Amino acid sequence: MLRKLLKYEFKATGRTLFPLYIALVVLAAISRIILGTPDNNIETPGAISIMSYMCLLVGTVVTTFIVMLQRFHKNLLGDEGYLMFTLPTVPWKLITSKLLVSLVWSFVGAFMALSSILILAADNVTITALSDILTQIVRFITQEMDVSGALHIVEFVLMVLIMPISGILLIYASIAIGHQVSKHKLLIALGAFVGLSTVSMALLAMFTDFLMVRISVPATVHTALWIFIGFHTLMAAIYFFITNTLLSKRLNLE
Amino acid sequence: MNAILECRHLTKTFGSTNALWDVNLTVERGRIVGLLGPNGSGKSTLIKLANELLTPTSGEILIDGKKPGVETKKIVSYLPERTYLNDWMRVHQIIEFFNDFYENFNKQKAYDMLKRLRINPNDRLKTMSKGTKEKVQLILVMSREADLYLLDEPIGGVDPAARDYILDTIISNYSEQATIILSTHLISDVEKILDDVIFIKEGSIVKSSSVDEIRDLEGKSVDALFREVFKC
Repeated sequence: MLRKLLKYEFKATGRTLFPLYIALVVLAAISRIILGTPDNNIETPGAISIMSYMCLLVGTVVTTFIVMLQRFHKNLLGDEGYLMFTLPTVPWKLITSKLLVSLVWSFVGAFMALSSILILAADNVTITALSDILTQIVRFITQEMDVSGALHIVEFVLMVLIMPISGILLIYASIAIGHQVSKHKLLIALGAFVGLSTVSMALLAMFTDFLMVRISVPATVHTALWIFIGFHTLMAAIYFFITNTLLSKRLNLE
Repeated sequence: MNAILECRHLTKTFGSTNALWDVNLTVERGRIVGLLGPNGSGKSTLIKLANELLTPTSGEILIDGKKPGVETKKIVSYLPERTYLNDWMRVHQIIEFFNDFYENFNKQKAYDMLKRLRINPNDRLKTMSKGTKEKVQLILVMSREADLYLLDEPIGGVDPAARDYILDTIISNYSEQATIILSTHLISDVEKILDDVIFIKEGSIVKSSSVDEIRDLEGKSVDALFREVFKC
């Protein structure tokens, strides 16, 4: 069932986001051609082209975010919720399908934005610098890697995954909390967002303090990163639990 | 065999208002049941509870002996009072969606009904009128070979001419073993197809009997009895 949900979630979001990402790269390429090499003077067509590119870049980031909000809010808690919640499935699968698809689009979006910037602005210097960095990374992984280095790579990957996951789930939990009241849903959702973020910051501080001071965990970069990863995993689980409980037990569609 | 729908001391409150209060009810298989009551009497609340869109405050509701969940959703086909169709799909895409998610969906039946109602499967849901959307939704719901159909105000939004067609669609598209519960306040329109009626008032069941009984014992039509029971 999760696979089917994912399929439709990709269809529903891809029809907006995919053309945008393609347009971004294409417009970057067009701007690059009009501008010629970056050393040339910028003239009117080039200026128009680069302005449109900038607008599209901002628009793409904003749209990706809005689609993420809409797919949760409108598809689950709006009229479409009547269909989604009567499918023979359970709420956690609905939440997970939306979470995974949002996560994938965040990465695809970031990748496309970076690619478009490179297409637009890369010159010999940046390309050399980039390939240098890449060679160094490859050399590091293949030759010089020790346990600490390998651990850093694992830490990096986990951070890159858990940060957006806990961020998206925080937003879902806030919207689900906002949906509990009949008036001022948006205001309550915003309040929940601010409240949950503040509490989580305070908890992180206490958590770190507890580990470092009370049980004197050695203060290395590794421990700091693992505390951070562990904490955000915990928060993500809590946000997921809040969202799932509210959608299962306290769903009240208009 | 379990009754298709059973409520035991079912209560649902919203804040301090009782939407349903201590409802006890059994609905058997193979019946067409009218859930009748004025606006705000608890009809939709009862149907939503059966679909797990709401959770009971106390008591329980059972479908085929089971609490609402994945298994009951497989055998219940639900038409809500509002349109739940998204605005980006075409008709044939939403048919695929239903076909993907419901094992008992009969695609051929859906296409046949579309054809009879002259709805083009390539049309976008977005461009359709409210009435046409309601028809598409009813086609989707009735194309499932379900055990229980829960139809919330299925004829509320369409003109009287279309009403007859819709009622005809409903009765000609369900098997003998299936049960249809339809809520409405347009009693005279549905009276002729009903086997049983449930009168609901301010969250409580005030009468539950067969249409024949009402005619024989009370010597009245359902419509006349309704007017009497719900006299303002």
